[in-house]
Amino acid sequence: MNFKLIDFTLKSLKRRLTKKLSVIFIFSLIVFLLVSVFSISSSIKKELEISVNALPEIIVQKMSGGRQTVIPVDRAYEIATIPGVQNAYDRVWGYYYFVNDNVNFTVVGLDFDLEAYKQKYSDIINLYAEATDTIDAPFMIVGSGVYKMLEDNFYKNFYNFRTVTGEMLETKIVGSFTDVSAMETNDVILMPVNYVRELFDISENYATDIVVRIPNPEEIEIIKQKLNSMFPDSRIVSRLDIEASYQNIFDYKSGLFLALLIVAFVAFFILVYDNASGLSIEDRREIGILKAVGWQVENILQIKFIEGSLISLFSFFLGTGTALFYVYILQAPILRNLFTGASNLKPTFNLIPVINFEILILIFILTVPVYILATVIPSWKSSVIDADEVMR
Amino acid sequence: MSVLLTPEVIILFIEDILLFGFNTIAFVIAYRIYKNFNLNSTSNEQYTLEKQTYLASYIIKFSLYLKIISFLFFVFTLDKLSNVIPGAMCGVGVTTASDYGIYLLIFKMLNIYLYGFWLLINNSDMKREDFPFTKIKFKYFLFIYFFFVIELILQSLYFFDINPQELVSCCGTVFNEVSTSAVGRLTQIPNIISVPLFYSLFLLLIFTALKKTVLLNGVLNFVFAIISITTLISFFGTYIYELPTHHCPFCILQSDYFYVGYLLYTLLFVGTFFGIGIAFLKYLIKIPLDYHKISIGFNTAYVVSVSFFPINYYLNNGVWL
Amino acid sequence: MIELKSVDKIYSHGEHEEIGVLKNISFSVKENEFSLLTGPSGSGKSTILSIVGGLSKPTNGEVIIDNKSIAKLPDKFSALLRREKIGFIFQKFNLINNLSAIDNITIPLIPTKISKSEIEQRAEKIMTELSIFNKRDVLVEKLSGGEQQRVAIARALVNEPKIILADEPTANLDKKLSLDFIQIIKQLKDAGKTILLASHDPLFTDLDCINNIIKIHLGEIQ
Repeated sequence: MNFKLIDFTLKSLKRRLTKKLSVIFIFSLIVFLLVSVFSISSSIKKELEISVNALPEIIVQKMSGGRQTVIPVDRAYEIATIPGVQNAYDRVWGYYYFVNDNVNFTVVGLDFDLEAYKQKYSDIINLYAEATDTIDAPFMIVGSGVYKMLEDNFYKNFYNFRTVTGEMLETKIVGSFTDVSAMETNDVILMPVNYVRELFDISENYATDIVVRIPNPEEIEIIKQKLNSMFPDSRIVSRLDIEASYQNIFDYKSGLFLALLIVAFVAFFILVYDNASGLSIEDRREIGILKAVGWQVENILQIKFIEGSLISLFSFFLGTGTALFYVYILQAPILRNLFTGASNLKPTFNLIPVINFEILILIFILTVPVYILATVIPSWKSSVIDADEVMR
Repeated sequence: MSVLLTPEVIILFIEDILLFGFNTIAFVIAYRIYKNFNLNSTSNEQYTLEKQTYLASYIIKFSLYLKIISFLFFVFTLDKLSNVIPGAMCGVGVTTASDYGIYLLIFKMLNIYLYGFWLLINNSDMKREDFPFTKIKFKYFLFIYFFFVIELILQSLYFFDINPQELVSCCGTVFNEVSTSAVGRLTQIPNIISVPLFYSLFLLLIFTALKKTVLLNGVLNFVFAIISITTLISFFGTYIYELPTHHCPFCILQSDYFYVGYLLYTLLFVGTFFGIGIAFLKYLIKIPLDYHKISIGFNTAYVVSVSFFPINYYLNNGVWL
Repeated sequence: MIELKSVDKIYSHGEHEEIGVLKNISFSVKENEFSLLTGPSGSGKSTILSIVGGLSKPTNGEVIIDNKSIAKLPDKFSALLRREKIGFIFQKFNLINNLSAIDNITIPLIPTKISKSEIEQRAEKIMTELSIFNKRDVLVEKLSGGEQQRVAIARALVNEPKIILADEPTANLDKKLSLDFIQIIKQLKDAGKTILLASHDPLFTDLDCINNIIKIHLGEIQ
């Protein structure tokens, strides 16, 4: 490659930069959108992977008329005797509607003296053990999202829950917690199980659902089938089912984006073609001069190719850079709602920075050669301008 | 939905559709040039044709570069799809997921050779003031275009034929003793025959290149390319994997083996490309090109790098696999 | 050095309409000769220059430059010929306005294998000879007409050509600058260049350094 040609192209590009701004802008915008969308979705996938791994292998829910209802606690003992099952816990939890902000909190009942079914919750319990040991009244430990929301509504030390029977349940806020995978725990409230029963009016012998721990993943399917026949009135959900349904949502959504972007791409192709073929009188004269002083058709094609490469590489890096900044530093305002849904169920979470080079390569291959291809015909057209044009 | 429309596959198709459009333009120009090109004419038509040769050449050149990139991307995609297709652990499983897979792979490689040869003719053509090979190079392109179209059809058939729910067999079974596929059978030649054959072919290659017996050298390069790949699967590969039962041309492309496959295949491709190219051009345009040094250089580099693995293994462990 | 044999040039517009611009032009310019093409505007002088320089091709006839026939030479090689053997000075200077003087002068050598520093050395040497070195990095659009022409001359000389072709070089200059130009062209002839100059400026007709005058009228030699 001839460096003098690159040098010349840079100079010539500098002179005509304003004409190229629209193309650079749109090119960067497309790269920006692509990188953002793929980064958000891979970040969320990562987040889900973390939370799915923390999920119990199987959840047993009792169904009544197609809707979930409370499940008898003694079933947990029954399930625990199935070979292959390490443990079965009954869980008491539910959604509490927080009127002030129009959101639902997930209220989880825990026995603060026993190990919880989630390692994470056990850690939190241990962390606050000193503070909670001495309290006799209702108390709770809340996720950071909940904490912030309560604080904004001036509930600093306690909050008054309204139980199902209409009574007030004054609950002390002992502390808050955060987690790497914030998406799952942000809206969680941890409370002693007896108060949760009071709050949702669930009697001693019943629970919301039962989680089943199975150490060997190979046995999940078999145990699932067994549970299905043991409790025909129940829905048995395995971790794999949840994983698959998450996966589907994201593949579907990023597929949808890709389809939209292909449409945008066609428009982009036309724009580039148009921009590159719009030769002004000045451009034509310049190429005429170059040819008159001894430049060959190939040389003109070369500078056009270099120009295309420079513009597309520059726009690619500009788009990628701003996208990574937008997603991981600014936490992707607006766009991420498209993925997580604008629902208030999951108030806030941080996008985990995962720079996925595969995706960057993918987008590079999609955009840069396509840009240069779009300039092929216009470049050729200008390269074969007659040299004697300058004599006319 | 059973069709495999991952972003990678969509991108492959977008690029191929664009290339198809541009190659069709080149095809039309090539046909006109083949019919009407006459450097002695001063007519407007001749003048237009002369200008159009540049467009066609530019497109073909660009297609070659893009084809090389997209071939690497294709191999990468096959590897990636092995996560999606049950039973597939590397590109072999994905390739065998459809009957068209192996033909698609062959055509993709073949076309890179064909486009590359075109570029060699073009280079000799553009150096001479009377453009002696312009007609023949575009006639040759008419032929390449059909190969390109076949590749495109195979690719569509292939991706629409894959059923992500169906279990496929991967390198473990494709190249094992009971294999019945043609490629599988080639790798069944015992190492005691194929490895000495590989080395003696290499010596013959150098000999014929130095003697400049061009046609024979070209044929030998072709055979050498095939033997190289089969011995890579049956013998050398096992030393890269350090596992006597692992016969696979794809796994060496993975990060577990430091992507060494990309290096090996590139060396082999460049070496045999120039070797076959010289013979091909001598036959097609009857001019001798002196690319023997490049051919010898890259082929030697291939043989040296591929021999490194068993020798290194022997020096470290004192036994052969 | 330059030889034209029965050159015709016909421009065709569409299939049936044809305009003859040149008819049966034959002349030759020997090495280190200075020939003047004269005639009213539109007589075909510029077309002859563009054919000699390989910018356009004759419809019929033979053109020989430095023992090489170029009438049917493909564009690729006529460009090479210009780059190696011909320096062109145009009527409207044909400079790239928003590039500096030095960047304009080095243009012909950019596609060659000659190193950047050597090209710049060459250009600077010529600029010094033409006393425009102090304008080295000034944009040409900021230069005066006379300076612009010197930049154009420098560009024509940077490839060290044997042949200089000039098309109405004094058309945009006043009397004083035109006389300056004549001084430069004389020096070029003394330096051994072969010169073909097209002009209807009467200043040239009496010059003693001119070896022959070719009069063109309506595309034919008179």
